[in-house]
Amino acid sequence: MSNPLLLNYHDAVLYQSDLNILESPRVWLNDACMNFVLTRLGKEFASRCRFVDPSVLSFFMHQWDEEEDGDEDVLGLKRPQDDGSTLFLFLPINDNYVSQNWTNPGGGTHWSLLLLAMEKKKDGSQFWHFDSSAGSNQRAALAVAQKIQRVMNHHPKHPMEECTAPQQQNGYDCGLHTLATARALAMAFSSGEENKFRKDTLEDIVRQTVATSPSFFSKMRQAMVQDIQSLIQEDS
Amino acid sequence: MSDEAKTEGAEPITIRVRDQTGEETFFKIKKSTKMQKVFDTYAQRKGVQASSLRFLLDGERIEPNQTPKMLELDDQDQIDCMLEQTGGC
Repeated sequence: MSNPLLLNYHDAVLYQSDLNILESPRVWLNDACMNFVLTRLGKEFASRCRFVDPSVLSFFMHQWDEEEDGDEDVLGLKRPQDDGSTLFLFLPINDNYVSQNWTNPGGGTHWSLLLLAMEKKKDGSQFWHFDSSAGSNQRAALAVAQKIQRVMNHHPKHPMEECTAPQQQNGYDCGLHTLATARALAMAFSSGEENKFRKDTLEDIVRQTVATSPSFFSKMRQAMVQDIQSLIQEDS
Repeated sequence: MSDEAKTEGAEPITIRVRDQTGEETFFKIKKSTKMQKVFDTYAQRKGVQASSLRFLLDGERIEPNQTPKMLELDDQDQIDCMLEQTGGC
């Protein structure tokens, strides 16, 4: 079966099979789809936000060893904002990061969003988790937060706060929830100069933007497909 | 231009691809060969679709159009192969 490479958008590579996922209303999003949108957001909201590639985060969790690879700052944890403002790091969480079966292709069942507000003075840094299926990815998100905290040598009393997030109404839209949540937060962070955010403020931002209706997410899939198709045309 | 500079790119190097289980596969390629060729061959050998594999060098994505020369890969250097992940429910 032929599966051509359709697009290479700043290293976010999409094959025909990835586009097929988005064209179907109920197919689970893979990391290529997630990374494409996160890379798009990274271009749009570059000043205060960084978006991590899920395969890089998987590498960080499974292969990257602090003792051996400590010099390779794969997540950019040693690069806070120069001007002392908060840097927001968006970390797409997959349960595969803590799964026993992570060595099979297509592993994982659930996406959620971990947000790190990174401060130059590291003890000001905070972790928030948004999960459209509350509780499902708590273990994976906490494992990521704790590994990052070990690397940063920052040990807060609350390693991570669970935020109240809009809940998915089906068994296939968690990837879109994750991406919609990331976009809502990135827009809010980029629209002002504000550095400090409270948990309930973040929850309000997400609640006001991310709907739970099926049409919201089917429109989102369509918009992604259109975006990809226009980028392919520009490319050719 | 010295002879050495002229032949650079023609001399093959060995690249080690490490998968997520730690298993290594070796590829002998020219420094001017696109990495896409390594990706496709690797996928074929592993019996999976190239679209389900992602390749990283020191934690950064490798683009299929890049060459070992552009990536400054030397003989016996290692790249990592990550697998597709998914989620929905």
